[in-house]
Amino acid sequence: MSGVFDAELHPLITSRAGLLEYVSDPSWRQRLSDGEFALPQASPHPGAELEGGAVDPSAADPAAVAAALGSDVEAALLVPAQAMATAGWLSHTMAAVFCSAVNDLLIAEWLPAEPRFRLAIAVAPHDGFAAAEEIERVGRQPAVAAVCMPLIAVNMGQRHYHPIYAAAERLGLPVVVHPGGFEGAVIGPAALGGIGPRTPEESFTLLPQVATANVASLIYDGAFQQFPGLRVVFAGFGFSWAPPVLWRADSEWRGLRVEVPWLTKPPSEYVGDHIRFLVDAACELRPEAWRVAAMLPETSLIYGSDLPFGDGDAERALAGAPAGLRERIAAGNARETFAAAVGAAEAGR
Amino acid sequence: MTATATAERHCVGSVEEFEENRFRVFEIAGRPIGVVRRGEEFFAVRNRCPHQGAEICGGRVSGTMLASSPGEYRYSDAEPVLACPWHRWEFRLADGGSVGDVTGKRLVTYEVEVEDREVYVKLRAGRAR
Repeated sequence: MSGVFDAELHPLITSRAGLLEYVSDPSWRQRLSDGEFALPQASPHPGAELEGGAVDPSAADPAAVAAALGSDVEAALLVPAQAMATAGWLSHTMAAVFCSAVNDLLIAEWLPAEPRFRLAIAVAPHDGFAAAEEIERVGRQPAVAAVCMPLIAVNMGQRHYHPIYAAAERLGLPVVVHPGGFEGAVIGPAALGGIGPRTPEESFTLLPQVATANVASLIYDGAFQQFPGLRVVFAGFGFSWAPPVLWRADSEWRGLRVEVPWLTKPPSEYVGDHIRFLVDAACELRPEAWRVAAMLPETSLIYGSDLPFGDGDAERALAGAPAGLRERIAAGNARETFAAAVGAAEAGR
Repeated sequence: MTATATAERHCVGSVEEFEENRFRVFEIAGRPIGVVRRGEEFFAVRNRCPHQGAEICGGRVSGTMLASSPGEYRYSDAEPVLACPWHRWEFRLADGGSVGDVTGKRLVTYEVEVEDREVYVKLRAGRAR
């Protein structure tokens, strides 16, 4: 397959000592060294600690990951999944410290290993101002193409996130959101409907609820009016649920426009302009899903391998995609989505 | 032949018989037509929502919210609207157009004249029911 933009490749960090070298504040380095701080598990999904085989350790070796990239891959966006676990952490400062260290490690050790690597810098969503400072601190590096964060129990349209959106918009970086594995826990991360202990399978099944709630919040709270350059990528939430949600949103808007007069066009058009859904190994990839794909705006879907949790075979993953959409999903939509990064422009890429 | 010259004029009562913002519905030349008063202004529309056919004249007559910044409301009375009681789609009383362009469909409107305190609805000649 020619021209694949892999918008979701998870770099793995397995050495605690190696990471702590990148904790710049000596006091925090000391605290994290003294305590029982452990690196988050590789997979940011509920119940992953009980799932089968361990992740291939080569996923922590940038040279090995680079060597394994298919020749058809023109770019691979590193999305540090372990930083998504911070959504469930007690200390918001520690979450921010951890994300900064992850960013510095990836910039120092991964980006030089492969010119096709791009980076989604991690931020902790609890403190919008701290996250914005982090975006300013590392977001202008040439290979930085996005910001990534997990979701907490504040919907994405709320002012809480405005500092993050303002910084991301200023630097031309889309905001990639990805599950952190704590969705549905009672306090802290993004909520799932109903309260009660769940099996991992139930939580995973319900993950689209988180994306649905946040798509609706971004639209109705007017985030795209306030940040016209904002683009949001939902990674790891699937897409097959989206068309009926947009149908309903458009239908409700016709009658309830007076409640949200800042919307001057149907909600689905804002989604087409600003929101992307990742097609990855966690998706509902069955023949029927591709019929659903054709019901979304043609700009909506971008491919991600979900390596090391998938096989990275884009050709196989997209085999059933409608002919007219395949190139867009494989690379075209991602090229357009990630092209505006200020760092990239300054580097002349 | 001009439209005015061929328009049929139908008297629907005196100005005082109309309550503010409340439609009265008449059958005029076989068509259900509602007439409403806003101050000294009168409007007439077909009593049929172009969406799903509801008797729209039972809906709310008011001003509406203009396009605004997120979280802010800017209410304006300048262009009164009629909101369908079924799904709240709003149409401008003056021209029947959709408020906010939520649909391309239009509410059928009629010209109203007031003469000597009597209210007249004018039907355009040859217009399809």
